[in-house]
Amino acid sequence: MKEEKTLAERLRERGVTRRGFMKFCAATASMMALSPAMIPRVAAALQQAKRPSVIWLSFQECTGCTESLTRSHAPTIEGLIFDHISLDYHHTLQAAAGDHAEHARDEAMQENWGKYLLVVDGSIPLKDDGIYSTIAGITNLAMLKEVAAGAAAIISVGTCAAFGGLPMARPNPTGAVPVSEIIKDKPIVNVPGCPPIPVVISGVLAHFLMFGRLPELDALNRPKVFFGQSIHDRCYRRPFYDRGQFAETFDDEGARKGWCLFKLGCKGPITYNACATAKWNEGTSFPIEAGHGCIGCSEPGFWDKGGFYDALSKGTYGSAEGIALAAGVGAAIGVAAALGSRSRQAKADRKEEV
Amino acid sequence: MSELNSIPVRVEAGPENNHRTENLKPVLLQIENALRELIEHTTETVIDLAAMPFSDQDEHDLRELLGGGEVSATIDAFGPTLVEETAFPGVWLVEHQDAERRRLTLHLEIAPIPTLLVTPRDDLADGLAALKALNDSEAPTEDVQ
Repeated sequence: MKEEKTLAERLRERGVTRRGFMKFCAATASMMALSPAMIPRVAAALQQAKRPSVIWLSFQECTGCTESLTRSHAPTIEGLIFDHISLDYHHTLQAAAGDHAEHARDEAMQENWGKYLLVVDGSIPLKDDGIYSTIAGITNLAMLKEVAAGAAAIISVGTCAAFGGLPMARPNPTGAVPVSEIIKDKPIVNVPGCPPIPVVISGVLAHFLMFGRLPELDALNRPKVFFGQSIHDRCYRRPFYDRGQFAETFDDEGARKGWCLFKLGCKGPITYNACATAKWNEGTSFPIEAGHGCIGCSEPGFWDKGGFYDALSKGTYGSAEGIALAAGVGAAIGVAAALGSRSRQAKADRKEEV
Repeated sequence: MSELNSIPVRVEAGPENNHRTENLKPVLLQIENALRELIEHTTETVIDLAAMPFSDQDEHDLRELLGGGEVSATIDAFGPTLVEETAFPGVWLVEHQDAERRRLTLHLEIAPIPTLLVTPRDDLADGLAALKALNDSEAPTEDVQ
């Protein structure tokens, strides 16, 4: 039998006091862009949240997504949420191997059929019957279909699982596809990024813990609370863009002064993610803060869209997005995009509060 | 760290480059309405400053305008929480930090006392039980002359 302690009980065991729990709830609500008025509801839901069974399948991937989530050093919000789930199968992290590992997966599936969460990182090769990636002699394709059949929902973590990522980049030698190309009858939430931001992964898990369902999604099945605004909308270098102050090379005066990296190929204006606000390495910074433009890693097909250092205004990156931007470099587009995305964010918030 | 600090990349400083989002005034008006609600209907309000575009410069301006009040406190629970009353009674700045003192959230609470400062009711019961156990214990007490 699985342990049936609630999240609050488990936090108490770890020395988190009642005040600490309320603070955890306030931080979780803020992380998920919920109104502070929701904090009591978050507290009530997390107080009772049971431990969900999670099966994590890693296919054609680099383990960066798992590293992203597990490499925190302090008791972080994402760490505490990740610790709370019952991670019944993850062949990179679990101690068991071979038959024992596969037995653990079978057991978790049988005990929690129809209720477990399936997390997938990595794409799935289809060419030559999927022989290019196997686990315990089972192709990724067969394993995905088998485990997905009993899942309550699927979280595709990372750009490979969500959109195909690097394995699917031309010439795509293994015939790689994302999860959504194979599974059509289950709710799927995409958490793209190369790798994805840990707080976004745990935010989706927290939402499932609290409300028993997945958060509201955008047209690409990404959670709106985290992907509702572009990098450009929330970038601290945005004022330089608005004033037309750009770095032209990586070592010119503009670069040294921290001006906008748009002309150096920054894909922030067409990339939706929470990097500019959630940041990386436990809130230390994000690529633009380190002096490099956004490469658009949370958008579909980003490897094949063109040069990372080609400005969007050249119109060569991707197709429609680049051309549209080339036609309107200036503050007006940015402001309109910001207002639009904030409106979407507000709608998402309102819907969550109902 | 000296190597990192020696990299000659600095965001330009100076008044004209200080980024303001235009959200300071709406926040101040929201505080005014919330304080009125508190007085008239005892409704408490929490404003999450992370939920809107709000720059470091905005925060600096906000702190300057609100000033400091009579009360400040630190709560040590799941990392420190810094509580400061502003010069406007009932308007509090509450900053939640993690164990490594990184900010988790910054809230404005408009309330007689911030929620986290109030002792949880279950903690009162636990405290009573612990105190009763102490008093019931047979530990020797020293005579005081």
